[in-house]
Order: sequence, then structure tokens, then C-alpha cells
Amino acid sequence: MNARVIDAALELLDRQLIDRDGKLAGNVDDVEIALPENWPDNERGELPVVTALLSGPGVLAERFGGRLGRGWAAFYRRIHPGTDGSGSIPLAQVRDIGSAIRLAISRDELSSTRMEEWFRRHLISKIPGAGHAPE
Amino acid sequence: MKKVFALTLGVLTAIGGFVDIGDIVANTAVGARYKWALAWVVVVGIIGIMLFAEMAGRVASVSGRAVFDLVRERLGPRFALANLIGSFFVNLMTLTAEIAGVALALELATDVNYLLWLPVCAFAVWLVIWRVKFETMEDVVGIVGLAMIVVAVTVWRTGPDWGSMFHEATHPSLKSGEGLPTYFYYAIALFGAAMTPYEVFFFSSGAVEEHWTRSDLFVNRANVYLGFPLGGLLSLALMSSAALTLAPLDISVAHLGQVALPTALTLGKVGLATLLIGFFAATFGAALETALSSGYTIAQFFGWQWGKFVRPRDAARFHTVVLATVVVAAIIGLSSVDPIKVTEYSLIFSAVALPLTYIPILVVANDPSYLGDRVNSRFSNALGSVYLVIVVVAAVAAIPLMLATKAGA
Amino acid sequence: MRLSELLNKEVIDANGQSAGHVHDVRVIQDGPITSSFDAALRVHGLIVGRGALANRLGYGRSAVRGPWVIRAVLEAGDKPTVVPWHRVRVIEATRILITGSCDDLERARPVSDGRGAARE
Repeated sequence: MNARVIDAALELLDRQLIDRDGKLAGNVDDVEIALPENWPDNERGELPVVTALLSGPGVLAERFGGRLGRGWAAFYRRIHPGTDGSGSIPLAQVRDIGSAIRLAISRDELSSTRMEEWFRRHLISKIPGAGHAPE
Repeated sequence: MKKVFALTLGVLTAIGGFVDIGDIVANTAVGARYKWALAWVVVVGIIGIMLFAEMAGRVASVSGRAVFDLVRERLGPRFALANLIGSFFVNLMTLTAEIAGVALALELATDVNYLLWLPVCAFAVWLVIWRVKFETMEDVVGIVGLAMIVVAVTVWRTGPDWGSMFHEATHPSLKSGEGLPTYFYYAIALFGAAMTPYEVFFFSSGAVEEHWTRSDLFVNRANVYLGFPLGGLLSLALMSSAALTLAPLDISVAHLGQVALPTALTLGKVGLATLLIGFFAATFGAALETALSSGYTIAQFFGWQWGKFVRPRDAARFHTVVLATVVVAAIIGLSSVDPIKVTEYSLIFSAVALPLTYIPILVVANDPSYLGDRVNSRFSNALGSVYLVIVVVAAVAAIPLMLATKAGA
Repeated sequence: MRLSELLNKEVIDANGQSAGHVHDVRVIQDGPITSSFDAALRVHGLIVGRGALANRLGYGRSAVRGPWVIRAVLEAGDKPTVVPWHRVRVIEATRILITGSCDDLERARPVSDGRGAARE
């Protein structure tokens, strides 16, 4: 069998996400890993698995750490109550891992693109010509 | 005809990069002060930007990833954010100066104060980005910008002694009273003017906007090998026209009107009118380039949808950033800061920020997971390594030289 | 747990010796990414080394070979090794404790890359 080796920080982290319609859908800001049950005393020697890709300013902020990261994350939670802003994308929705990561879902299904929607609705759509392709 | 228009991305990028307001002034000022003693820097800059843009365009064509995507992928979010802040600041300063430059060109043509033109120009820049198709934008601005060739005609008509010109350029010497630190300060400014990060942000994003693919690598090369030398030639022509006409009169350049002086003296009204059209197109092109680049860099850092190849409502945050940047630049411009001083500083800061953009591109251009078999040749890597040293030395020396020479005073 | 919670932590062996910092997490894709029941990316081990910059740029363990100037400088101080996951015992706030001695860790082999570019 052709097992592919992937170095997660090098090949997943900070990569571009592209949704099923070809729209850019954020970057991979972190990766969720699930430890096996009872680790490290798991008798069967099971390995941790990558369960999801995380995307969104809240996640990115936490990666920065320090005062900047904490302030940014706190600000983000404040304007988005009840969320850490993580668009969690289950691995089952990933189609291809290459120089970009292609998804099987639309970017509108990700909670991390709420800001995009906000600006679309409250600013950009109000300017004449927003719905036409440039000509 | 379509083939001709396929080259306008390179022409626009290069004209916007080489003969924008900052270069127009820097080259003329340097020519008036040092004659051809710094011409070699322009040549070093042309080769450097060709190497840099070719790699960035190749990566964008093959993988679809534009420059700031790669900056974050290779440097990680912290360094990439530092680069983003620096590059955005340089972009904003340059945009401010370009909008003012367009307004100054209109002032020269109409005698109406540039501060009145400035909001009109800013609005026009935004409107073009909002409404005009990328290809149309680059074709029109690129081709009208060719009017700058009138500067080369000026030099030719002045009838210089080509032999002694070449001798002065290849055996640089300083007039008495000129210090080496100031000479090198101007060298870095000229180098920064040729190798600005925003040129590659724009060029590589433009390759994606135009849907270049692996089969367009020839177009990429042709754009780079024709566009940038043309831009470089124009900056050498500006330098020469100043050296021939202004240096003997001992005029030091502080105003756009003085830049037009050699052409007006040599070619008369028609020459001057052509030059003003060229100024207008070149600065307007550079304004588009920097305004779009501010959106490109921020959107690519966060992974947002960007670009003019989708409807504005599908790239809402990108268009919000572009709009906000143009508004802020116009406000700074209206506060009547000296646009020429602004560009002088922005050239130095772009030299400082350059390695953080250059290194990721050089590395990715060697990565088969992005490029397959189109990775750098040995020759590109040898040249790339030489420029790595130049870029780092210029970045490290820039600020100390600026402080030591009081910005070339 | 997040990937970023493993990265950059110092790896300490049973003798209290440092093996370097976590540069990456090597995962193996053992099937197509389709099934939601049996996730396809398994953590194989930690890539541990000393030069942070070389690591970030991918030298020493990817298919990136040139330019040799950068490679020579960055690889001189960094020989990344692999800690197989079964040797990882404890994950602390800034350190990761492993079993055995760090002297018998294997060099990280470059990931083979025959995929070419993602877009034609």
C-alpha cells in the first residue's frame, strides 16, 4: 500500500483552504489531534489521529501566544459571543492535500467566514456593482 | 494582437515599479547629483527584480499560490505578521505618494492645485479597482504608460557623448565634497526602488487573476524579460536626462516640475504633453498596484477570498481592505505631507522589508511539492544566492545609513 | 489536543537529557481521506531538532534541495531525528518526556515526494 508521509506543520499548517466551489476559504490555522483512549497507558499501542483542521482568527490568535495573542483572542470572543471562532473542518470533508487543501464543503458552512458575511451584508453589497463581475 | 496584450502585466508591473512617483523623483535627483555614478545600481536592481518576479510568477502559475500565501507558509504566522505590518506600511506610504503623484501630474497639466485633484484621483483609483476588469485595467494603463518612452527620446535628442556616458557609468567616481555614506544611501534607495516587494505581490497575484497555469510559463518569462528591462531602461533614461540637462545647471530636484524640465527644454510642448500623459499613467498604475497589493497581502495572510476575478461581494473583506486603504491614503495625502519625502522613506523601508519576502520565494521556488519539475535551475539558484547576500546587506545597512546621512541630506 | 500544543516544546529523555525541540509532527495517511469512522491520518512520531529556522523552511526533511548556500548554512547545525510516538510518555506545558535515551533516535528521513504540484 502507498502510505503517504505528511509533516503536519510543514504541509498542513498555514496552508490555503479552497472550498468545493473553488472559493478561498481561509487558512489552516491549527490542526486537531485526538489522543487514544487512556493514553499513555493504552495497551493496544493505538496512535493519535488527526481529526480536524481548524481555521479562523480565534484559533490563529491562540497560536501567537503572549499578550498579543491573548488580547486578540479575547477581542474575538467578545465580538463573537459563544464561540472561539474555530471553523472546525472534520477530516472527512478534506478532499486533497497539496499546495492548497481542497474541501468537499462550501465556505459558507464554516463559522470562520462569519466576518466575510458581515462585511458582505453591511458594506460591500450596498455599493452599486457589487454583484457584477468586473467588466 | 492578443499576444501583445499578454505582455501588459509585466509592462504595468514594471512601469508601476520602476517609474512610479518615487523612482521618477529618485532617479532624476540621483542623475542631477551623481550623474551616472549610480547607474550600476539600476542594472543590479533590474536583474534582481527579474529573478525575483520570475520565481514568484512561476510559483503562482504552477501552484496557484501568490506571494503572501508563501510568506506565511514558510515563515509562520509571527514572522509573516511582522512582514505584513511592514509591507502594508510601505504600501500605504507608497499609495499616498502615488495618489499625490497623479494629482501633481494633473496640476502640471491644468494649473489647478493638486490638493483639489487628490480626492478625485483617490476615487478614480478605487473605482477602477471596483469596476474594471483586471485585463482591461492592465492593458490600458500599461500601454498608455509607454508614453514615458518620451524620456528616452529626450536623452537621444540631447545628443549625448555615449562613450563618455558609458565610461562614467562603469568608472563611478564622486565629486569632491560628496561622502561615501551618502552615496551608498542613495544606492540603497535606488535598489529599493527597483526591487520593491509590492511589485512581486502584484505580479504574482496578477498571474492568478489572469488564470495563468503551467502552460503559461512562457508568458511569465516573456513578461518578466520584456517588462522589467523596459522599466529599467526608463529609469536610466530619467537619470540620464537629469545628468545631461540638470546637473550642468546645478539644479537639485525637489519637485515633479523639475523632472519634466529636460523634456520640455529638448522636445517642446508636444514632448511635455506626452511626458505628462506618461506620468499620469505611470503613477496611476502604481497607485492601482499598491492599493491592490494592500488587499492582496492582508487577504492572503488570512486566507480570505481575494481578487478581481470574482464578484466584489464574493471577496467582501478584500474589497473592504482596499477601500479603507485608499481612503486612509487620501486623508494622509490631504494633510499635505510632502509626497516626495514620503516616497524617499518608503523606498528605504521597502529595502528593509525585502528579505522577509525574498527568502520564502527563493525557498519555495526550489520545492517540488509546489513546482514539480519546474523548480529553480542551477543558474537561477546561483544568481538567487548572490542576490540573497545583496538583499540582506542592503536591508541591514539601510536604517544605519539613513540615520548617519540624515536621509541623504 | 492541537498541533500547536506539541510544536516547539523541548523533548527530554529518561536521563533528563534534551533531544531538542519539536519541529513537526509526522503523520501517515494510510488510506484515502473519505471514511469518517476510521480517520486516515495517524500520528507516527515527532520530528525533533535544534535549528528552528531550518525546520520552518523545510530543509533536511522535505524534497527542497537548493539553493545550496541556504541549505548548507541551515543544515550544519540541525540533524532532525524522529521520536516514535510509542516513546512519548508525558506532555507538559513546555516539555515532552520520552522513554529511553535520546542517543538512539533515528535521523528523520526526508518525506518522499512524487506527487508533483497540485494544479496542472
